Parts: sequence; C-alpha cells; structure tokens
Amino acid sequence: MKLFLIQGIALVLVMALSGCSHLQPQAVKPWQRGILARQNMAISPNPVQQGLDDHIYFSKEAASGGSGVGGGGCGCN
Amino acid sequence: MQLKEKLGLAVCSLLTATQSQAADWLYDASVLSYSEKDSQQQDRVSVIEPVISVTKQNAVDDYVQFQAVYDSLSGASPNGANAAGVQQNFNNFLVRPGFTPLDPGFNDTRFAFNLNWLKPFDRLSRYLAGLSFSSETDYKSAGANFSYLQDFDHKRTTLTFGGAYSYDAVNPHGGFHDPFTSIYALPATPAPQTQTSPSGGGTGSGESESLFPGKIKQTFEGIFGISHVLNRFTLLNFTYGLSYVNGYQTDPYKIISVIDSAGLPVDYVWEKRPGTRLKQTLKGSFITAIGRDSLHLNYRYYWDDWGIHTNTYDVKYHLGLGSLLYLVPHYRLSQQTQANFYRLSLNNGQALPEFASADYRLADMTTTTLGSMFGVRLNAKLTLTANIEQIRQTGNNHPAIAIGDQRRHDMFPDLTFWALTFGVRGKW
Repeated sequence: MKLFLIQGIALVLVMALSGCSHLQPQAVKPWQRGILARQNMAISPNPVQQGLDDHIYFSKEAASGGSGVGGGGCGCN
Repeated sequence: MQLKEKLGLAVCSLLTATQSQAADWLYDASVLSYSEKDSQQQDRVSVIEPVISVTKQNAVDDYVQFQAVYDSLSGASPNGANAAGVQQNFNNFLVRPGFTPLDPGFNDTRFAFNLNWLKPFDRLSRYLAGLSFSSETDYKSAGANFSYLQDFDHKRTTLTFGGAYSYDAVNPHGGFHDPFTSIYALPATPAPQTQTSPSGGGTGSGESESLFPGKIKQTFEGIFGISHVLNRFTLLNFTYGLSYVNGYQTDPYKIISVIDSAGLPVDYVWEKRPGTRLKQTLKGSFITAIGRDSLHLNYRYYWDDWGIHTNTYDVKYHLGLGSLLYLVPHYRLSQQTQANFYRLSLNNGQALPEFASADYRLADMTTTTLGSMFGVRLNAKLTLTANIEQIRQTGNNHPAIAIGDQRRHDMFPDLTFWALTFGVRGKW
C-alpha cells in the first residue's frame, strides 16, 4: 500500500512537472547556472546528515548503498 | 557505499561551476542520538554519534576534507532466537516467555576517520581520492578509493568511473564459534592468532599484536555514474554500483533457535553465512528547482546473490521560509526481501542447511522514515540545524512457516525510534 502511495506521489509530481519546462532538455550556458548552483540543488545538500542516516540504514537493513560517514567499519547492532 | 556520496559532491561541484568564490575553510559538525524500543516495549540499542567534518576548499573542484566520527552504542540487541512460551536461558541471561530474546550486553564504541580530496587534472577532468580507517573493540576497517570524473558537452554531462577497496577484520568478544554448534557447548580453546576459513568457525583469539586481528573481510567496489544538467532547473544523476565482498560475513553474535515438533526451543546454535557476496545497485536521482525551493526524488534498486532485493524511495523537499529559515521534510520507504538462507528457526533432528541466519535484518522487512530538518541561517558564516526523524521497521509478525508454539508469539516485533540530530556548519 505504502509502495503504491509513494509511486503515485512520484508519478503525480513528474506529471505536474512535465507540463512545465522542468523536464524539457535545454542547453544551459555557464551564466545560466545560478539556480543549479544553489545549495539546495546539490545532489547531497546535507552530506553529514545524509551520512548519519545512511549509517543507520546500513546497520539496520540488509541492503547498503551508503554506509555512512564513518567510511567503513560496522557500528552494527 | 560512502563513495557514492563523495562522488555526488564531486559531480555537483562541477555542475554548479558558476558558484561564487568558495570559502577557504568549511566545517560541519553534528550529533546524532536515538534510543530504540520495540512493540513489546523492550528497550533496545541507544546510540550517540558525533561527527565533525572540516574542508579546505581551494576552488570548486579542488578541496581536501577530513572527517572524524565517534560512535557509542549500548543496550540490548536481538540475538536471533524466537520468542517462546517458556523461559529461555542463554547462558548469561534469561528471557521471559513471550518476549523476543535480546542480548542485554551489547556495548561498543567506534572511531572512524576519513580523508578525501578532489583535484583537477585539467579544465574538464578531475579525480577524487580518499582514505578511511575505523576501529571498534571487535571490528577494524581500512580502505581507499579513487574515482575519475570527465566532463562533456560544455560541462552538461559528467561521467564517473570509480573503485574502492576495504580490508576489514572481525574479532568478536568471546572469540569465534563453530557454526551450528550449540551455545551450551564448551567454548573452543583459543588458538594462536591465525586467519581461518571465511565462513567457517574455528577459533579466534581476541588477543593479538596485529593491527587487524581476527577474521578478514575484503570488499572490492566499482561504480559508474552519469550526471546531466537537463535544463536550468533540473539535474539528473544515475549510478550503477558493484560490490564484491569476500571473507568472514557471519555475525558472530547471532544464534538460531532449534525447535521441536511443538515449536518449542530445544537448543540454540550459532549462525553461518556465505563467505562471498556480490551486491549491485542502480540509483537514480532527480533534482529540480521549484521557485526558491527544490525537490529531490531518489530511487534505488539493490540486489545481491544472497537473494535480497530492495526497492528504496526517498523524497525530500527543501522549503525556504524567508531568508533565515528552511525546512526539509523527508520521507523514505525501503522494502526488502529475505535472504535465501534466512530461517526463522531450525527443526530439531533435520539435516542442517549449508548456511542459515535468523537475523531479522535479513528477513522480509519494510523500513519507513518520516521526518524533517529545520535550519536557521544566523549569518553568512553560521547555520544551525536540527533534524528529527521517526524510523519504523516492520516485518512478518506471524509467518506461515511458524509452527506450534511459535504461532502464539510475535516473531517480528515492530521497531520504532526517533532519531535526533543537532548540527552546526559554516565557514571561517
């Protein structure tokens, strides 16, 4: 149920965005990157927080794709 | 693993190449804490984890970063045995009928250090390299990584090729146990420090002169990524990761209940996992600006040769509240299938499988996270943050494979906890 919910939300968001310019490919000149340069547009705007979260998931789930800020180690429980 | 985040930062530094002059020194310090409690109202693990990261930034694509982590864990952790209708004895502690057995002696601390640096080769290429080391009382790890990043198409597209290696040593308190032997068996005589078979038991000594005592686990990782500036508002990022783990991957503290035909425990044996694991991930990220805000959509598909498949969805919305405040509501959903050697328990008298583990983290499970970060920009050089998240793990409380007495008890108590993080970051 939750899976369908989040897939639905994502679908609605993408459909909403597809009607505007956000999904249309467009050449971007260097001087047109002001929005992309904002901190909240970084792939990981809060890397330390992201690392802490990833370490929680690393220690509590079977899958890993982000072991945390520790750079190795376990810290498992 | 962590390499992906570093690459994310490295790629981003390129995509945002018009960013104004970078600060010389950046710092980011946070403290995470949480205390777990399950649906049987049993307290589990408590964690306090401070982190500090300091970056010397010479240019957008030229920095050196050092990070230190301290991790303190204590409390009670599931030992793998099932709840039962009788009192259960695990040598050094007893468990009341109906409760999932938790080993109350869980206690560890971890220190971890990372050094990363990003340097340009030329105007369109650069490399990211890093070293890491961590130490716990029963686990040590050292690693290195290197990635090459190449820009194309007027820096609209970046390709990344990277690799990493880590060398880990597991050295459990109380030594190693032979797989599938009873926890009531007399402990094996400690042997001189030697490396033994990856998944086998044998003996291991906690006393050693070696920097990496115990059994060894090596991890080889590769990653390929592509990032693309779709337009002035949107970034796309895709990565494929491959990881091969070779060595000791059994959890030396986990056991499995051995039950009779009535579902009651007659013994407990030590678990055993395969000595190799091939893990793969595909991850896609979609980041777009909505006015002054931004929306981050992430999807990751994970699979490995242990039979585990995971779908993970992550949504964040960076909401500005004027020039000083911002919120980052966050929702994450991760659903995993169980490992092919996961067992709820073993049946007394039946042939033993080649591998078996009752670790709930290898079971069918769903993890949901709901929370938000709150940030206050006090001035151009100082930002305070607080992050609060509720993390909930649920599984199959009454699996079909449960028999007899097992059907009367919760085989997977839900786990819920609040994770709090306070942070400060800025530059000087």
